[in-house]
Amino acid sequence: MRRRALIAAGLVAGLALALPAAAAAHGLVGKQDLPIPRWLFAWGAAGVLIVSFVALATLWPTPRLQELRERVVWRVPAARALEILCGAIGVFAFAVVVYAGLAGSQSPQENLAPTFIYYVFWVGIPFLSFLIGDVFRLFNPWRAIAVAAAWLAARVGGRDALSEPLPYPRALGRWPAAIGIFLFAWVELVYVDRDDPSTLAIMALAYAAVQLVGMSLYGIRPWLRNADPFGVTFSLLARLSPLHWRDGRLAVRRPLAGVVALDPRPGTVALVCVMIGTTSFDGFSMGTVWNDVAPDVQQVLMDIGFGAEVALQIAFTLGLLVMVLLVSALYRLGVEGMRTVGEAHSAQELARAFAHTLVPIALAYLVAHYFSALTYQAQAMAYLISDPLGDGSNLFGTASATIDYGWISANAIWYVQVGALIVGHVCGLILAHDRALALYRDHRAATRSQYWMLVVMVGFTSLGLWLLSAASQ
Amino acid sequence: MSNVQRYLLVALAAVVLVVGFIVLSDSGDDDSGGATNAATATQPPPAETETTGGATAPAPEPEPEPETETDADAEPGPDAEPAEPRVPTIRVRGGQPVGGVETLRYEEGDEIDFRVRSDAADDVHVHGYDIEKPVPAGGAVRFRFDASITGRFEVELHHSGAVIARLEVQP
Repeated sequence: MRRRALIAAGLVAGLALALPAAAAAHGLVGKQDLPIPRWLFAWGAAGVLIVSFVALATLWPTPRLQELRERVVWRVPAARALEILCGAIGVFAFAVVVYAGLAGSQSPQENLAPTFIYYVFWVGIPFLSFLIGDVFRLFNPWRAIAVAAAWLAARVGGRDALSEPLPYPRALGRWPAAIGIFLFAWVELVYVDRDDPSTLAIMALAYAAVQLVGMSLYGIRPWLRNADPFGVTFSLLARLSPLHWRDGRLAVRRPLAGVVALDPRPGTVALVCVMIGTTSFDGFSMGTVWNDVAPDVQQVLMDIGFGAEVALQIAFTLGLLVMVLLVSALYRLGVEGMRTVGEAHSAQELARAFAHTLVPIALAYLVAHYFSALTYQAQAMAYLISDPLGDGSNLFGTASATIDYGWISANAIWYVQVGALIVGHVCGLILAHDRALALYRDHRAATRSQYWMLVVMVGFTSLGLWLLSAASQ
Repeated sequence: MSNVQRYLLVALAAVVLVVGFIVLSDSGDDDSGGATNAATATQPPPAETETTGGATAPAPEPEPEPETETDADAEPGPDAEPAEPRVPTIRVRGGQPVGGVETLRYEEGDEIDFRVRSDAADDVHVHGYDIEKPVPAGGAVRFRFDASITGRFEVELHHSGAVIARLEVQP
């Protein structure tokens, strides 16, 4: 009897343990990073502290970054034709991905759609944006379709064919983008069918449809600047780049200068917190802490009457929400702290004034968590473009290519991860310091406000290091 | 604070960080030398160890672990492989690993060696190394290959899609 009960208990325990583990891992990438070793964690944490105090002592006493100076270095020849070509490429790529998702093999590894959407698009474009500026705007397929449609309507029906767009509600600001990125993260990290190619293709179509409706109602530019979640996110990260493409000209600016000029519309803080919080949850949900907690939450929900799968998704949704709220709360703590140093700045004013300082942190998190996966899945593109449907075709002769997981050593990955976090930390500190000098009339108040921002930055960087370390994995 | 003082402070911090890095990374190598290639559970210890009645006699090496077992368990398979107590075995029942998802730990350059025993036929896929072998119903399949790539890898049943074990290869 006892023996049988033990076997049953073992089986139940085994099942309970296996469930969240199976749900947590992204099935696309064959290899996960090793957690950073203890010594590197210690060094990283110490490095952050030393860098912070040196920064406090040595950073400049008058604002230096607030003025945006750009120098046009290149006039792009045939800019209009290039824009049309890029737009066409974007639409073509979008069509291929959707078609592959719908018509191709439904195995996530064999189909082009999941790898393209989760890695080339969602991780690759931020890396490119940071390096060479806001390239997505040129290739943005829904923008290209809308511009073409507007041009066509004007050609066919004359200038009055299109009614004046509605004014975009100011209070809405970047909130649609923040909510959109949260929903995307939900699909990527929580939804059980996240890797299912046809589901992804349908969601991509729905996304494009929403964007087209939005642009037709509120006008192409206002909508894309506020409410296209991917467009807004990518252009936000592109502000960190020293390159700025505008109206067929390439301008150069100092690194970080672009992000200082960020206009803090409503929803900006939310967007950055969603970016940091969802990336954090991706790391956190792989770790032992979460995998100890999740089955309990799942069990509670199953006791209420939910099925196992639904309960697990609710548990993960809660985790994702809590992580975003935690990140927001940490930022809020810094803002409330800054309010105590004198000069009557409102919480909202301060929150918006320092929102841009979190952008480098968001990028650092992205690099730390997805850098290696991007390099592996980018290799997968070699065979996926030759066989996008996974039906055995070989369009470019590269269908038999494989992923070399050994191209970069574990040590090199660790250095990139810790390096990204520390560089992001320093950039955040510099931006906050400079903004405080510009915002506060009193130099001493500016300095004292920065002790609070230091707490916020050290908090984010420690969280980032912890998520990468063996302590959480 | 004068400019000279500023530069000195930055230089001092840089020196401290570099020295700290070198000192820590040296001691870190010693630490990681303590890792073994034994299979260790990252999840709470499997409750089913009691059911196998400690089939494994403790060997002098630190390798055998609770879930490492001989074929003397309740599932006599058709394969007549002799018992090899030192090869970790992942047992699959009802499409799920008995005792939860274990992590098998190795160091780069080791030989990875484990067996998968399943009550139902399936294909076992080792991610990253991209090795796939069929396992017959009620039988076992053995994987032996060099740990040439560092990282964490999943061992997955291809048809059921369940993760049955993880491999961890440390540099």
